[in-house]
Amino acid sequence: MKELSGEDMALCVAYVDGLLPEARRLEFELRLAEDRELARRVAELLSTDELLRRAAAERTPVLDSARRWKPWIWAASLAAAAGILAAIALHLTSGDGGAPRTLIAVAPGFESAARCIDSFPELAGLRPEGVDRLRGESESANVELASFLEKAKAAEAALRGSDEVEAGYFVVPIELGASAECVVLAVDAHGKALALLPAAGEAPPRLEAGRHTLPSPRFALDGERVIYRRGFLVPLGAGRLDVLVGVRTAREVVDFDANALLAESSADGVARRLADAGFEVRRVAVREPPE
Amino acid sequence: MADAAGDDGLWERCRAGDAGARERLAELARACALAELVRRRAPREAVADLAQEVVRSTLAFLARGGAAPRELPAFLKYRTWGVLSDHRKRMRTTLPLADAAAAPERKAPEATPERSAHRLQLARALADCRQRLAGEQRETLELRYEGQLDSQAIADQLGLHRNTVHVRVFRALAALRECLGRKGFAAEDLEP
Repeated sequence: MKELSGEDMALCVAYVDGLLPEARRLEFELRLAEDRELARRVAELLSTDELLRRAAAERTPVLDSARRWKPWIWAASLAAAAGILAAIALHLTSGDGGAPRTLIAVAPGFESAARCIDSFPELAGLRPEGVDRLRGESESANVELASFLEKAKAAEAALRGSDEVEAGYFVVPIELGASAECVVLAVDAHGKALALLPAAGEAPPRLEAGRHTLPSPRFALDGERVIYRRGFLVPLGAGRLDVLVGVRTAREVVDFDANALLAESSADGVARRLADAGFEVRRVAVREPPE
Repeated sequence: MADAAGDDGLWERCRAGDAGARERLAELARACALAELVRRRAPREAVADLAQEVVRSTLAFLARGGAAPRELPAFLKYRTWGVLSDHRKRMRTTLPLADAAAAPERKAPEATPERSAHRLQLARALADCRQRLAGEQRETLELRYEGQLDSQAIADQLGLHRNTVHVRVFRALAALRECLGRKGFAAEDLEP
C-alpha cells in the first residue's frame, strides 16, 4: 500500500467535507474512477468519518438535539405569536376575514450563487465571504457581509418577476397586504402534481405582511459568511411546471394537507381544490430549459 | 445497473448528439445515484433531489466537453459521493436556519440484540482507539466531531493552515481504521 502525499490526503478530506470547487471535484472524481487505490482510501475515509459522526451524535443526543432545534423552536414560537397577533389585528381592522391583498410572480433561480448575484445589476461582481466556498467559485471576497446582505435584500425586494420564466430553479416573489398562510404547488407537463411549499404532510407556513421571496431569501448570513439557497427545483423531465401559489388569511386550526391534492392531474384541478380550501390562487409557469 | 463493458462508448455517443445514448446516460446516472444514496443513508427527503443533481451535473459536465470517464459507473458513484458531501456540508452550515430542506439523516436499521451488542463493541473499540491517538490528533477529532467545527474553524483555533488540519484528520482517521482492524472490525463493520 503506497503512502499518499500530504496534498492528496488534504484533497481527500476536502472532498469528503464537500469543500472542493466544482471543477476540482469533478477532476478528482475522474481520478477516483481510474485509481482504485486512491478510491479505496477515500471510501475508508468516508466510512470512518461517518462512523465518528454517528458516534458523536449518539453520545450527545440531548445536547445535539437542543443545539439543532432550539432556533427552530424559537422561530416557530415567534411565528406562532406573530400569527396570533396578526390574526387579532386583521380581525379588528377588516372584520370580514377575507383573503389579503397579494402580488405574486415567478423569477428564475440559478444553480450557482455567482450567477445569481450577477443576474442583479446592482450586485454584479460582488463576492461576499462564503459564496466562493459554497458554490465552487474561485474569487476572493470583495464586499463586506453587512453591505452585501443589505444590497441583496433590496435587490430581491425590487424583483418584479413575471408570469412565466425558463429556468432550472425558480423563486416566487410575493407581497402580502396582511399576514397570511401560503402554499405553492405545481403540476408538470405529464400531469404530476408536486407539493413545493409546504412539504406534503406539513402545515402551510404563515408569512407576515410585506415582501417575501419563496421558498426563502436567497442570501442569508451564517456566522461570518453568506449562504446561498437556489430556490425551488424544476424536476428533470418536468417540461413545464404550472405553479399555483395559494394565499389565505392565517387560520388557527391546521385544516389543509397538501397530500390530499397530489392525486389531481391538472393545474385546474389543483387550483379548484385550493379555492375550495379558501385560498386565493395565482397561477404562474416555469419552463424547463433545454439542456 | 449496467456494467462498464455495456457502457462502452456511451459518453462518446452522447457527445456526438445521440439522443438515445443521452437518455441512457441519464438513466444510468440516476440508478447509480439512487443506489449509492440509499447505501450511504442519505436523508430520505433529499434522495430524489440529490439523484437529480447527479444527473444534471453529469450532463452539464458532458456538455462542457468533460473527459470521458474510463469507468463510467465508478465515476457516477463518486459523482454521487461528491453531491452527497456537498449536501451534508450545506446541512451542517444551514441547519440552525429555518431551511425547509433541513432533515435528519436516515435512521439506522432496526436494532436487534445481536446488532446492539455489535454496536456496543464497536463503540468501545472506537473509544479505546481514540485514546491511543497522538494528542494533537485526538484534539483535532474532538473539535471536528464533538465540537462540530469545520476545518477552517479548527485551523483558526489551533493556529494551523487548513490543509494541515486536513492532513491531520486523514492520518487520525487512517490510524483509527487500522486500530479497529487490529481489534477485528472489518471494513463492512464500519459501514452505515
